[in-house]
Amino acid sequence: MRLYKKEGDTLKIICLPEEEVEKGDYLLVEEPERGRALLAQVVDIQFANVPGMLEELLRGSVVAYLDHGEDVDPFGLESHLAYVEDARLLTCKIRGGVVEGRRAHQMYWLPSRSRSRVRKLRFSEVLKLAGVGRDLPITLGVARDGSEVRISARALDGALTIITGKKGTGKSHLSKLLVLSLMAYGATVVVLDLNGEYTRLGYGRDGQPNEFHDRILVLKPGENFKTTLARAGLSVMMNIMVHALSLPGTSAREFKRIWYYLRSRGMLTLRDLENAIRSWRCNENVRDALFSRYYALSNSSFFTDEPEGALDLEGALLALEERGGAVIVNLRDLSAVERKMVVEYVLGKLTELLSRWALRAVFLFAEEAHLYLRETYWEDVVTRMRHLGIFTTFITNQPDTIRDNIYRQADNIFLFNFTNEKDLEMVARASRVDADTVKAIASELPPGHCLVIGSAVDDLPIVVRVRELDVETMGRTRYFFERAPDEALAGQPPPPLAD
Amino acid sequence: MVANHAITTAWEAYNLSLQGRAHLPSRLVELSMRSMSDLEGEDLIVSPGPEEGLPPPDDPEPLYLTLEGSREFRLVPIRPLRAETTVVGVDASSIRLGETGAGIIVALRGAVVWRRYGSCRYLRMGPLLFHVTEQNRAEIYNALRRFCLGLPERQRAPSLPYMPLKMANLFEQWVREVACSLSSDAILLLDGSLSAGPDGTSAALARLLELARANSNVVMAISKTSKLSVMGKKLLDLLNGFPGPCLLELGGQLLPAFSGVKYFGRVYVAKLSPASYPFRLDIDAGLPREIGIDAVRALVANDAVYQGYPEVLRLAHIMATFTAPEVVAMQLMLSRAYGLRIIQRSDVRKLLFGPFGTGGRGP
Repeated sequence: MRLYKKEGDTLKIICLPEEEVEKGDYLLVEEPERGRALLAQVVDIQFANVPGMLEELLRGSVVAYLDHGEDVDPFGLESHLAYVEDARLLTCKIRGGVVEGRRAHQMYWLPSRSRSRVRKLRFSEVLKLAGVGRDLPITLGVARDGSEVRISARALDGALTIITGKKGTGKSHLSKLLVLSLMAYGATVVVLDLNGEYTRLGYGRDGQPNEFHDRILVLKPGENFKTTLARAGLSVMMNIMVHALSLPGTSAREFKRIWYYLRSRGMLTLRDLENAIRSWRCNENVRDALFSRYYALSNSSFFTDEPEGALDLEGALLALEERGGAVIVNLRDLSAVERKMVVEYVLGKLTELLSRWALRAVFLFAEEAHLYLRETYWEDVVTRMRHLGIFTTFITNQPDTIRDNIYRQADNIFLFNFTNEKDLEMVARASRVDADTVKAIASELPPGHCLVIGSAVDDLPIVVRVRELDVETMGRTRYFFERAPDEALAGQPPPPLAD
Repeated sequence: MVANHAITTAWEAYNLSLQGRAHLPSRLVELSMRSMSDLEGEDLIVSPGPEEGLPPPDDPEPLYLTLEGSREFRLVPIRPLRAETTVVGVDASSIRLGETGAGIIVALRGAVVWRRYGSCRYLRMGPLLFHVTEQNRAEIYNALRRFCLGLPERQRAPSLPYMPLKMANLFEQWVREVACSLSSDAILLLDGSLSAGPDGTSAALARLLELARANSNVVMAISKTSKLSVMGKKLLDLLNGFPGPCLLELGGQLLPAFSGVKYFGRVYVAKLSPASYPFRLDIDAGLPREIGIDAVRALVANDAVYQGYPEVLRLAHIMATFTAPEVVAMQLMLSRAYGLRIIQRSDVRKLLFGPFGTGGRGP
C-alpha cells in the first residue's frame, strides 16, 4: 500500500490486489525514522482510476466477443495487467496519530509519500492503542480478523447510549448482552421492554434458570406490578395526569386540591377519588375532564386500592442494588396510554430514589422510547437525568424518532445495518463520528454486526460481530413460513389448479 | 475463394518456421531477453502523458506527391460477392515505455484476426520488450531485419528516437508473414500501403506478396490517409459525392518511382459501404485486376464494414495497440522482474512556465 493523497482528514491510499483490506479496517501510515504514524480507518474502497482503463475494459469486451484466440505473451503481461486493473484506491479517515507507539490526538504533520510505510493493523492492536476494555471489560464479540472486542463498562457509566439499526439486525441481542454484562458488575438496570423480549433473560437457551435468574425481576403491569395512589404519591400522579393522560392545567390544579383533601383524610383510594370528583365543587367541564382521567386510571388495572396487592418498587430496586440486578418492565399488551402511565410511574419512582441518594445510579434501557416517553423527557435525558444518575440506552429501529440533540450528546452509538439513506443521514449527525464513516460502513453491515462509535472505543469506530448469548431468545421475529413449504405440506395433495 | 484455412495453435505459430528461418519468434524472444539482461536495478524515467517531440511517422512515400497530367478514372461499383471467404486483418504497434540511463525500453506487439462464417479468431503476439541503447541499437535493428525480413546484410540503424517505429515496421512484416502462412484462399488486409522504402525492405514485401499468391491469398492494404494528389485534387477527395460501395480506379502508369520507393499495389480510392469514409486501397498488383476487384466484393460480403473500414482490421488494431493500463502493467513487470525504479519525469515546460507552458496543447 502507498499513500497517494491527503485532503483534510481524508487519506487516499493505493492498494494492490494481493493486499486484503476491507471497509472498517485500520491502517497505520508510519514514518519509522521519525517515530510517528497516522492511524486511519478505511471507509470506502474503489478501483484505482488508472488512465485508459475504460479503453482497456472495452478492449477486453471486444476480445471476449471473438470466438477463440491465442496469446503469445512471453513476459506474462496479462497477470500484471490484471494486477493494475484490480488495483484499488482506499478512502480513509484519519482517527489520530501514534507517537512513539502511543496514541496521540495531535495530527499537525503530513506524512511523506515517498518514505511513509502503510500497513494494516490487527484490531487487537487498534484496541490496544485505544486502551479500551482493560477495566471492567465487556466482551462484545469479535472484529473481522477474529480479535476479541471488549469495551469497558465504565464507557456506559454516566453515558447516553444509542443502539440503532433496521429490524432483524440484532439490536435487542446486543442490548441484552449489555444488560447482563452491567448486572454482572453489580449495576442496577431497568428495562422498558416494549415487546416482552427481555422477560426470559434469567433463563438459558435450555430453558433452565441461569446465573442471573435470581437478580432479574420481571414486572407485568396489571399482574405482578400494581400500585396504589398513596404509594404513587402526588408528584408521580401529577406527571401521569398531565403527561400520560394530557390533563389540562385548570383541571390539574383541581386534581391537586382533591389530592390534598383526600390525603389529609387518609383516603387516597380510587373509590374515594371517584366520590371526591363527583362531589367536588368545580366547573362541570373540569369534572368531566377529571372523570375521564379517573376512568383511565381505574380501568388500567395498574392501580389498585389493595395495599397488599401493590408492588413496593422502591424496595425491589433497593434490594437488587445490593448485588446488581435488573427490573424488566414488560410493556407488551398494554395500550398506549397504559404504557405511558407505567413509564411515568417507573421514571418518577427512579427519580425520587436517586434524588435522595437511595440509589446510586440506574442504567435505563428503553426500547422504541418514542412510543411511551413524554416529550419533555428527551431534554431531561441530556440534562437532568444524567446528573441524577439515570444513564439511558435507547434502542430503536427508527432513528428519526430520536432527536438531533440526543445524537449530538450521545457518548456511544452501536450502529447496526441501515440501508435507507434518510436513516443513515439521521445517525450521521452524531458528533462523535463523521458522516462518511456512518454511510459507508453501516449500509454494508451484515446482520449481527455493529459499528461501535464513541467513548466505548475511544472514538476509534470498530465493526464487531456480536457474540452469542446463552439466554432464551424472545425477540426473534416470528415467521409464518418457519418450516419449508414442502415440509409443511408433506403428505397433502397439491391444491387444485384454477381453470 | 475457398474455405480451407487452418489456424495452428499459438505455440505452433510462435515457433513457426518461415522459409527456413526456424524458430524465429524464439530468437526474437531471446533477442528481447538479451537486450533486457543488463537492466538490473536501473531507474526507468517515464513520461506522465503522451511523448513530446516524436519523429514524424515512418513512411516510404514522400510527404506530398502530385501526379501530373490528365488521368483516366474509372468508377467501379462494388456488388457484394456471396461466397464464403476468410478475411484476415494484421496490425502491429510499438510503444516507448520509458528511458533508462543508457537508452529506451520499447514494447512491440502484433495481432492477426481471422473472420470466417461470421466468427472471429485471433492470434496476438507480444508484447516483446527491448532495451535499446546506443550500444545495441545496431545489433537489435539488424537482428530484427534478419529474423523478420530475412535480410542478411547489415544496415545503419536509425537513431534511438526512431527505433520504436522502425522496430514495429520490421515486426509487423513478420506478423504479416505469419498471417500469410497460416491462411489460404483468404483476403489479407494490411494497415498502410503496398509500397516499400529505400531501406531494402521492398524485397521482403515482394516476398510476402509471392507467399500470399502461393497460398491463393489476396493482399490489400488500407490507408486512412493519403498524401497523393491528382489533377489538383487530393486523392481521397476524388470520391466526394459518390455513394459507396465503390472503387475509383486510377488508370495508366500510376505512380512514378520516387527516391527508391517501390509500389507493389494498384492504387484505388475505396468506399466500402454506403455511408463510408474514403480510404486509399492498394491491391497486390501481381494479381489480375479482376481478381483484386472480386476480392473487394468478397470483402464487402464477408466482413462487417463499419464506416467503410473492415472490422477485422479494426479488431487487429485494437488488439495490437497498447492501452495506458498495459503500459502501467509493463512498467510494473519491469520493476518486479528487473528491479527497475519507476520515476515520473517532471514536465520541465510546465515547471518553468506554469499554465503558459502548454505548448499549444491546452492546460
